[in-house]
Amino acid sequence: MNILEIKDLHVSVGGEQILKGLNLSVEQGSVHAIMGPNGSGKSTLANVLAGKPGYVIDRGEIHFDGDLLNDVDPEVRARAGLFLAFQYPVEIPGVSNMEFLKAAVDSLAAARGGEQTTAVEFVKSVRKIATALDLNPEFLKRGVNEGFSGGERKRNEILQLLLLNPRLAVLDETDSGLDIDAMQTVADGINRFRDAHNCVLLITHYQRLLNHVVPDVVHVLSDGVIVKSGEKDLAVTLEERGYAWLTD
Amino acid sequence: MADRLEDSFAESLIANLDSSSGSWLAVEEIIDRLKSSLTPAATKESWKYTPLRDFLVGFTGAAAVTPDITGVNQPGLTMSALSAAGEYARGPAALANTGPLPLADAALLCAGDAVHIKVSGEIAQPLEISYGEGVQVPIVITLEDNASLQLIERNNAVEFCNHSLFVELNRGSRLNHARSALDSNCCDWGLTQVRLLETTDYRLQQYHTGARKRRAETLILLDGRGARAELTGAYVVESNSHLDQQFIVEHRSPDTFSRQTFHGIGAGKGTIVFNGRIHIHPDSPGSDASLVNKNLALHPEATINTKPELEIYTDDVKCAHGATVGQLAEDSIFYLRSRGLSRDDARTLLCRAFLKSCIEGVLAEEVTEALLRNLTGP
Ligand SMILES: Nc1ncnc2c1ncn2[C@@H]1O[C@H](COP(=O)(O)OP(=O)(O)O)[C@@H](O)[C@H]1O
Ligand SMILES: [Mg+2]
Repeated sequence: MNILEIKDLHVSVGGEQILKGLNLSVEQGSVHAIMGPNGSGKSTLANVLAGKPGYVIDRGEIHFDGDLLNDVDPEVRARAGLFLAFQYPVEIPGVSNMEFLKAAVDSLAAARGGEQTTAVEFVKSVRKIATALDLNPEFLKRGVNEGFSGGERKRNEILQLLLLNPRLAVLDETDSGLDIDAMQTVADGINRFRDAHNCVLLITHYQRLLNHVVPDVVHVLSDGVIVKSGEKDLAVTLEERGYAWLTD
Repeated sequence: MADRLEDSFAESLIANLDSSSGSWLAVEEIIDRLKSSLTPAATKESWKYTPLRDFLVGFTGAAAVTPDITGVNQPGLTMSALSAAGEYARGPAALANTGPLPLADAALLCAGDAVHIKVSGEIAQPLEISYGEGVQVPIVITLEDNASLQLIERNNAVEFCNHSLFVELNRGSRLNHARSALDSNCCDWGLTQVRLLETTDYRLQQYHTGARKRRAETLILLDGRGARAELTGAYVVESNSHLDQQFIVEHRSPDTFSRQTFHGIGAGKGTIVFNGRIHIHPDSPGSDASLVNKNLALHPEATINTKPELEIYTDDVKCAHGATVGQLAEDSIFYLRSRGLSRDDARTLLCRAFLKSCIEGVLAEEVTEALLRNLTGP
């Protein structure tokens, strides 16, 4: 059963066509890696999946758990279980991480018809995840990503992933800019998340992360289309040979 | 019956004049100055965005009303009528000589009896003043040497209100002053004048929404070495509302310190006017002044006029100012929505964050939700 199904997706940004007929199916319980050179459209794919304004679908369809997603608001996607870990998470001074995370958890719980967690339970679970990710829980009192280093921002994205526990996690270069220890921590977080009921779209520029989070399928994105798909060995080949041979 | 609105306004003030207490200036002089201060030329600049006439209709000649004052029955506080306060001639006189505020404001102090509250020592409980409908009897508060007080001022009128407050801080005294005006229908015009002598400390937290017409004028006179004034505030102006805030800070002594930090949101098709003036007089070395006014244009048709004005006549001073009008960051909104928050919730969270750094003190809790009650926009 496919959680995500993308058919012939054409997307333009600022009048320029970026995705040019992308097809992709991600089944429940699997991890798909997307690799590709800079500017090939990886973040465009991530953003259009999350419903970012300004990303225009010219043609094609995105299905999520069988429902057409094309015109659905970002918050509705999130409540349905779609999560994007941003390549560049924004800083929102004045909104505390705690306040933000509680609002997110509550809105998802409300959409699922579940009970709201009490403040005490909530703080407990957030602290537990933060500690596992080597994030000092004191950060939770600060503004969202306020004064965070690049690595702290990425770990904060993984914290949200574990807290919100979505159906589909799209991780946009969560590994870039991390030192080896931090990458291990992030990889542990992703492995902790993945299970038989969800799926992961792991966008990365390096195969390094894939040594820690072993994908079921590796796709190569180039100039807005997937030009090759294979097993995890493909990532190793790409690391050795680069991308050029695929499009020659 | 007077032809011009300005004349009937003057007449209504004169009718209220109590000859026994209007002793600082000759009545004739008040009338003369009043009339000249109401000439179109004199009122043009200061009243550019808020027509003075809109307020004058509220001056019907009816006797001024005494505001509701609570907390006055405490050791250290005494209340009396203005006749005991002849010594305050300097207050309105100083005002009359200062900047663009029209003398009409000062004349209000002479419009009948005022209430005089004297403060000595540390006052335990807040003194609370609530304004009702109509022209309010002016309040004069004197803090004696080393006194300290928490003052809370609320505007509860919903039709028309004019109020004035004159404060004098004597050596070493401290006043923490929180005020709110949150009714959106009212037409109100308030004047505050605070005079600070040596080593005094004045803090203002001002929370306003827009209203049918709302104008708040605040004049700070730093008249003693080491006097400090910290003014902060937050405001939200909704559709069909108008808020005009005028601040004048006069540094007239060495080593005086002032901070003005105001954040506001244009949440609808309304008008924000913010005029902050810093005036550093000659012979005031070591003055340290700053003014920050940040505005968020939440609604595309919000009108925001913000203008810092500086006049500096002493070397060796520090003076910084900045006034901005910005928009909510779309990237931040998207980030929040991508975590399941609705667009409205995302906007409210960001607006609250924007105002939060300017909301503090005793009224913080009661004003926050009131300010954020109606954020409209796309
Ligand atoms: N907001 C935008 N406006 C115009 N062009 C954009 C925008 N965002 C990305 N692009 C362009 O789209 C192409 C793909 O970008 P992106 O999806 O970020 O690539 P990747 O993540 O693979 O490095 C690039 O050529 C980039 O310049
Ligand atoms: Mg990218």
